[in-house]
Amino acid sequence: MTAPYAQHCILPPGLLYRLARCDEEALRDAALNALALDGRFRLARAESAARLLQLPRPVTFAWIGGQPQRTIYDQQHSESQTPGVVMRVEGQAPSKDQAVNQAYDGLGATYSFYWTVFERDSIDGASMPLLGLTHYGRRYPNAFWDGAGHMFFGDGDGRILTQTTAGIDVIGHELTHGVIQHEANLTYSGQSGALNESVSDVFGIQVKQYALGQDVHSSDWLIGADVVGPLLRPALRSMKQPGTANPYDDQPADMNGYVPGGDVHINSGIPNHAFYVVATTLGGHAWDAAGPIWYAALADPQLRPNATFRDFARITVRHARQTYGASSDQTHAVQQGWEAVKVPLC
Amino acid sequence: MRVHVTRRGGLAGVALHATLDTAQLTAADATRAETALRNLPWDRLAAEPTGADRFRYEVVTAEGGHERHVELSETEVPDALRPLLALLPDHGQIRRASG
Ligand SMILES: [Zn+2]
Repeated sequence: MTAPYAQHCILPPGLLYRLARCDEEALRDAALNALALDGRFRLARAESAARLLQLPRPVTFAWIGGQPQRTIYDQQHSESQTPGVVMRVEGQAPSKDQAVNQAYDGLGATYSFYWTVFERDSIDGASMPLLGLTHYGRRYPNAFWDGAGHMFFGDGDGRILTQTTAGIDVIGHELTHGVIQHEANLTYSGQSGALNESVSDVFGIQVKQYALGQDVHSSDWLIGADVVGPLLRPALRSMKQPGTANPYDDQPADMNGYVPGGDVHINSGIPNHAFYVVATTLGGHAWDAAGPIWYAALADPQLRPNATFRDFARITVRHARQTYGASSDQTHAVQQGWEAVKVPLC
Repeated sequence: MRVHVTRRGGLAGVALHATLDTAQLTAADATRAETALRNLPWDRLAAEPTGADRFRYEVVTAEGGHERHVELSETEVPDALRPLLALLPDHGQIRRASG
């Protein structure tokens, strides 16, 4: 392989990054502009390189997107990992089963959000069918993504969780785990695992806000408020105030509270709160700027499966600069968000 | 046979703990569960399951005088243990997941 930078660049990117961090404002801005430009070239190259490593995406000359392909199944309380009885396919009238209809509607709302805001056609960006498996297990207090194209929903145990299909943010959360698998494929432990969880909450809450027409100030920023049982009321997690969602919530809100070796659902409070700060600092809808910056970072080939919070934070700042400018409100808000949770950017 | 079971992970991210006894099961289920418990791959951590938000179970027994642990992802749980684990929702106490 030849050195890619030699083709168009005099300064090595390492020096540009050092200049970009220096205190001299004029020098810093010049370096940032050069980096933004150079970043676009390198991004395009990295994207094409990354695609060579994956299966090629289907080439179509008349791409038709915007239409989900949903199938909702009844697992009839078994713990089988394969789809059970088909209850409702795309375009069919509602079933008599409320969980089936909630899964159908929630997956539809999530598809619409990704398509309308990001022009992403389903989980894989290439119209992958959406398969929702309801009534999984007996009193199963959980919903999960199986890594093989299926979203499973339990009926809840009535103590911790109730019917999990009732949470549109939960459905958005699970579908986003599929999106993550097809993008950065963040490893599900340590900081990359907590990022995986956080990104699922970040897009899950936006799916709910989008469906309800909520702006950043009218949203409660609670995850799972519609699926918690009496022990975990009022919600599973709070992006606004991590650690306060229920009596057992011990999510940290910043790096001072980071739990080494903690469950991925614990430390996700840190990047969750960063997103909350960015979105509420900017106002309007979360998907106006904060959501697209997070989405661009998730889809960036430089986000590696073992990414740390800092790696992710730096990619969000770079996308904010490239899209909105180095001295834009959006870039400042992203920097403030990471500062608020004490994730260093350099 | 008495075991201490902790379920971790899942969308909610809370840990649920209970001390369960195969004597709580019907005789047939208890015999099958005890055989399954004796054959667990003791002193091993759970395989990392694919996907996200799945449960993991930690099982601890002090049977025979010394304490032994095993961690199982929910896809690794033997069917014969499911009736015992089904007692967890009603008997389990929530623990903070970081604890
Ligand atoms: Zn999750």
